[in-house]
Amino acid sequence: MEQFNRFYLWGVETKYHMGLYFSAAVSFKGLVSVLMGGWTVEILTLLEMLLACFAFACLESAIFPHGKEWPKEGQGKRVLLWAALANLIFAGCGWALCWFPGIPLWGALVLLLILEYCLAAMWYALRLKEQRDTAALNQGLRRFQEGA
Amino acid sequence: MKITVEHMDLPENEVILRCPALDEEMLGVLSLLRSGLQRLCVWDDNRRTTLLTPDEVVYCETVDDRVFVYTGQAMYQTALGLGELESRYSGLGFFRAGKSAVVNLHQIRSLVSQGAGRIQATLATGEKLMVSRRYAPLLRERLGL
Repeated sequence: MEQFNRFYLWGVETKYHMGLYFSAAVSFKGLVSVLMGGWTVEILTLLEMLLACFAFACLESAIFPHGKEWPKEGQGKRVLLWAALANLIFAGCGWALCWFPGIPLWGALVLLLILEYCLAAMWYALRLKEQRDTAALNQGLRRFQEGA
Repeated sequence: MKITVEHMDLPENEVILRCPALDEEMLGVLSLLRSGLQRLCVWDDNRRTTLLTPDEVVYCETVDDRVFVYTGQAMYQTALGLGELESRYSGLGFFRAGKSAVVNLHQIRSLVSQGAGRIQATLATGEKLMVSRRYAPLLRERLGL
C-alpha cells in the first residue's frame, strides 16, 4: 500500500508538471497556426504533445525527484541535463513529428530561442523565489533574535 | 550503581556522590542533578565538568550515540539527548535542525533558502548547518513566517 501511495503521489506531481508543459506547447502550436493562417490543431498532434510532455515530466522527476533533497554537488550538471532533455524532446519532436508544418527556418529558430528563454525563465523564477524566501527568513530570524 | 536514600534532620536537601572516578554514569547523574538549574552540564576531553549557559551553545550534534556540544571556543559532551536538549531549552532558542543536530537560533548569523525546501544556516562560528526538509517548516513557524 505504501508503494502504491508513493507511486500515486509521484503520478499526481508528474501530471501537474506535464499539464504545465502541455499547456505551453499547445499555446505555441495554436499561436503559430494562427500566424500561418490556420485555425485548427490536429488531435494526433495534441496526443503527441501530451506524450512528449509526459515523457519530459517523467525524466524531470528522475533528475529532480519530487519531495527529496537534491544534493548541492552536481546540481549544475543536472540542470544542464534537464535543459538538454527539454531541447531534445520538444525541439526533436517538433521537428520529427512536424508539429509546425510549413514554418520557415527563421521561424523554427525563433521557436527554439523562445524554448531556451522559457527554460532560463523557469530557473530565474526559482532563483527569485529562493532570494525572496531567504530575505523573509533572515527578517524572521532578526525579529526572533531581537524579540528574546 | 548503589543508591542510598537517608532520611535525616537537615536544613536543606543534600546529595553526595561517592565514586572512585567521574565516569560517564556519574557524569550523567551530575548532569541530571544540575539540569534543575538552567545551566547545561557538560564535560571536555579531560573529563572536567563545566556548566554552560544555554546562550553559549552554538549547536549540538550526535556522533556515534554521543552528544557533542559546540560553543564558539570549545567542544564538550553532555549526557542529555538531543530531544531533551531541544525540549529543555526550546524557550531559550534551541531548535531541532535535523535528526542529529540541535541549533541555538540566537547563534545563527544568516539563513539561506535552498532547493527542495531546505534551509542553510550560517552559524556565529562561520560553520554551515543544513536544516533538513522535515524541520524547515518548523523553523519557519518558529520564526513567525
